[in-house]
Amino acid sequence: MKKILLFAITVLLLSACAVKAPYQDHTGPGGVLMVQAGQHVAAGEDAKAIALLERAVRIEPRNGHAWLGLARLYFASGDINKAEQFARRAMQFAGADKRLERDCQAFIGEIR
Amino acid sequence: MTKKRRRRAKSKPRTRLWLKILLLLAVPLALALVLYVLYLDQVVQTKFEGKRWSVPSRVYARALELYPQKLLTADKLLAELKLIGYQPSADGLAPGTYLRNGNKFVVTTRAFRHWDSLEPGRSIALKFNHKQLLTVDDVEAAEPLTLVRLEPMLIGIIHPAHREDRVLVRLDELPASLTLALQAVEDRKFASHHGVDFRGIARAAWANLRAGKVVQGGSTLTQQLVKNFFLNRERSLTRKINEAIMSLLLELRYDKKDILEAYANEIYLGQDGNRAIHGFGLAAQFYFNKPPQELAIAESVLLVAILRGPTYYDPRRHPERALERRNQLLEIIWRDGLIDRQQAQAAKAATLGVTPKPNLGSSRYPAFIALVKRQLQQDYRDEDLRSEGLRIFSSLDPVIQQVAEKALTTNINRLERQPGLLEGGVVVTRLGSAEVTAVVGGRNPRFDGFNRALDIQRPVGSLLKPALYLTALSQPHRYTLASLIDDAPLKLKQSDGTVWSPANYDHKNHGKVLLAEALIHSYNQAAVRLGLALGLGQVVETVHRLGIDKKIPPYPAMMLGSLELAPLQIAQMYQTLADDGFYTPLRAVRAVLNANHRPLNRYSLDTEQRFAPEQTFLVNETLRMALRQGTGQSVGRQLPKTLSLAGKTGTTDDLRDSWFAGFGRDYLGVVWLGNDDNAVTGLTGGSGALPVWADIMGQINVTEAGPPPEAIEYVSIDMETGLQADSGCQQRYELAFITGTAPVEYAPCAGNKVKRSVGGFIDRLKGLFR
Repeated sequence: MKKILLFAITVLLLSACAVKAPYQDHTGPGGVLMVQAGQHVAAGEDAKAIALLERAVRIEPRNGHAWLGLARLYFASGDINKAEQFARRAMQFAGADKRLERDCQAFIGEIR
Repeated sequence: MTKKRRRRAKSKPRTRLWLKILLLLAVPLALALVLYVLYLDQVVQTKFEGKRWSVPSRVYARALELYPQKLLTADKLLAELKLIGYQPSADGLAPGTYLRNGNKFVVTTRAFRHWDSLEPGRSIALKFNHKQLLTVDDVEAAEPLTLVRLEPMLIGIIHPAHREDRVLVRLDELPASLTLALQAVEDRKFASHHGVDFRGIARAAWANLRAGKVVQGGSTLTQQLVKNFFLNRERSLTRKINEAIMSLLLELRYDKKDILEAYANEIYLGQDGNRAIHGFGLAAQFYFNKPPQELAIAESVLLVAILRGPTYYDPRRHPERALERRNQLLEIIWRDGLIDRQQAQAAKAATLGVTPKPNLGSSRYPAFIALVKRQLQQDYRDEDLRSEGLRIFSSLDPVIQQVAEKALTTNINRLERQPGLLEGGVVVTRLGSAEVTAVVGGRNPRFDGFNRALDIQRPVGSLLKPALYLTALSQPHRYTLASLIDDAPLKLKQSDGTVWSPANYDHKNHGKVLLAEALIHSYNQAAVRLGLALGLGQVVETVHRLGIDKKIPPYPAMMLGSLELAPLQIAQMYQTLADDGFYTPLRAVRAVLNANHRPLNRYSLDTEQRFAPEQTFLVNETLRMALRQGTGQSVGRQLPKTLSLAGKTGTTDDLRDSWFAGFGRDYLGVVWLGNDDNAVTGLTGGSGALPVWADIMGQINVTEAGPPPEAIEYVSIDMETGLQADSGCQQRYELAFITGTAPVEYAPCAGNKVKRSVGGFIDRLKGLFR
C-alpha cells in the first residue's frame, strides 16, 4: 500500500515537473532521467531510481526537482533526516519556481 | 645333458625370482604412477575450475555526458576523444573512431557497462557552436537523442599481489582470424591431438636440426598452456614429463574450446613497466586500443606473431622484426587457405597499426589515484576490496585534470626563482555533487611521490577569513557588510607572556572600515579585532561547520591562518561556502562493482544544511568583489565578468606559502605553491597561486551568474560612514544585504535627502534590478 502511495506521489511529482514547472526543461537530460527514475520506482527498484537521480544531479546540480525526487526516495527508505536535507537543497534551487518551492515546503512539513 | 638340465633348472627359478622382484617393484611403481597422475589430475582440475586468474582492479574516469544545449566546445570534445583513445577516420562510422569537420562530428561509440546501466554503442552526429553542443543525433535512425554517455577513460590499474594484468575474454569474442591464425602457426593439429603431438615434436626437431637453431616449437597449445598455467619456468626432464601428463589430462577432462579460451587469457604478450600484459583481450587494448572483436586480420596476426617472443618482437621497440614475422605468418595462413590472396596482400601492405603506449598503471594520475585508494579504504569494507577484478568508477574529469596540470606546470616554470625548487598542489571539485574532478600532486604530475594536494600541512594565511566573516554575518542584526569595524593596530598578550601585534600586509592602518572592505582587502588588524569581538570559540565552530574536522587551538593567530591544512581540506571548507551553506563530503569514488558487475555497498550522495543560503551569499559576494577589486584584482580583472568567479588569497609570513581558493558556478579550485623545504618563495597568494587558479577556473567554469537569493537586496553604501549613499557620494560600494538589514540612514554626502527612508520603495526597486 505504501509502495502504491509512493508511486502515486512520484508520478504526480514527475508529471508536475514535465508539464507545469515553468523553469524545468522536461526535454533536457535531467527530465529524461527523472522519467526513467519514475519507471524504476514503479517497478520497486528504488536503488536504480536513486542512481538515475544522482546522475541527473551531477549533470544539472541546480535541478531542484531531481533533489526533491531524491528526498522522496530517502523518505521512502526511512531516512527522514536525509530526506529533509535533500528537500532543503531542492528548495534552495527552486528560485522563481514557486510551485517547486511549495512542494518542498509541504514535503518538509509532512515528514517532520 | 644333465649339466644342461641342471643349468636350465637353475635358470628357471632365477628368472622367476627376477620376475618376482620386478613385479614386486612394478606394482608399487605403477601404483605410485597412478597416484601421481591422480594427484596431477587434482591439480589440473582445481586450478582450471577454480578462480583461474589474477585480475587487477580498474579505475575509470567519469564518463562524458552529451546532450543538446550542453556548454561544451568542439575542442573539449576532441580532447576527450583523444584521451579515451578514439581514432580519427574517413567517416567516423567504425566503433571507436570519429570524424571532425569544423563544428560537426560523427562519433561511433562502443557499448559500455557503466556502474548504473549499460550504454549501447552507436554512431552519433554532433553539432556545436562557439560555446555549446547544439544537437546530438543518432546517425542510423536519423533521430535526435536526448542523452548519450561516452566510454569513460581507464585511468588506473590497482594490482593485487601479482603484477599480471589481463582483460578476460570469451572465445566467441575473439575474431576467427585470430584463433585460426593461432592454430595454423602454433599448433596445426590442435583440433585432433590429445594434448601432445608426437609427430609435431619430430617435425619440429627435424626443422630445428636443419636450420641449426630453434625455428619451430613442438609444443601444442595445450602444452604451452600447461607450462604457463601450472608449472614454473625451469627447463628439466621432470617438468617436461609433468607437462605431457598434465596436457593429456587436461584434454581428457575438458573441451578444446575451454582449453583454447584459457590459452587466450593466459598467454603472455608484453610488458608495460612492471605490468605484465596477459591474454588477447588486454593485448588488443594495449597494442591497438580496441576490443579484440574489432581487430583487423593484420592486427590479429600481429598478436600471434608477438607471442613467440613479446620482447624480441615488441612492435613498438622493434617494428621491423614484428613486421617481418607478421608477414611471414600472413604467408602461412594464406597458403593454408584461411585467407584469400587479396586479403593477404592487403594485410601485408598494412602498417603495424600499434597506438602509442598507453600511460597506465598508477603512473598517469598518481595523485588522483591516491585519493581514490584512500576513499576506498575509508568507505568500503576491506574484504570487499580484496576481491579481484573490481571496477571502480571515479569522478576524475581527464580534460579538467589536463587543464590543471598544464596551468600548474607552466606557471611554476614562469614564477620560480631557482629552477626546480618551487612546488605546488591543486584540487578541483564540482559544485553540487561535491565530486573531486582533478588532483595535481606536484610540478611533475606523473611522479608518484609526495602528494601536495592531499598531504602537505601548511599555514593557510587568510584563507580562513571567510569563516570569520561568515560568523559575523550569521548575526544579521549585529553585522552587515556595511558595519564599520576598526582596523587600528592592536597588541595582544599571549598565554606565554609574549606580545603579539598583527600587522596589515601593506603595513598601514586603515581606521574604521566597512566589514566588506576588510574582507575584500584582507586587513589583518580588522580581522583580529572582529574575531575577538565575536569570540574565538564561535569562529572555530564556524570553521568546523564549514567542513574542517581538524582540532583547532583557539589562538588569535588562528584567524590569520596559523592553522596548517592541505589543499583538499581547504577545498572541503570552500565547497560548503560555494554550495550555499550545504556541507557535502568531497568524494572521488562514485561506485565500485565486483567482477560479477554487482555493486559493493556504497555511500550515496549526502548533504546537510549548515548555514542559511543568504549568509553564505553575503560572504561569496564579497569574495567576488575581492577578486575584482581587492586582493585578487591583478589577475581577477582579466577574467570574464559573466562567470562571477569568487575567491580568496592566502599568503604566509615571509612569503613561504602562496594560496588561492575560490569558485565559479560550476567548479571550485584550490591552489598551493611553496617549497618542500619551506624556504621563502617570494610569492604572495595573488602573485603565485592566483594566476594558476585563474588559468584553470577561467577555462572550466561555463555557467553564468544567476539571480541572488530572494531575501537579498542591493544598496549603495558610502565608504566613509557605512550609511546609504547616492550619486553625491564620492566613494561608494553596491553591497548586498539580507532584506531589512541595510542601514536606513543616508550618509551626509547623500545630498539633501530626507535622512530617513525606511525601505524607500524606489530604492528597493533600484536595488532589485541592479
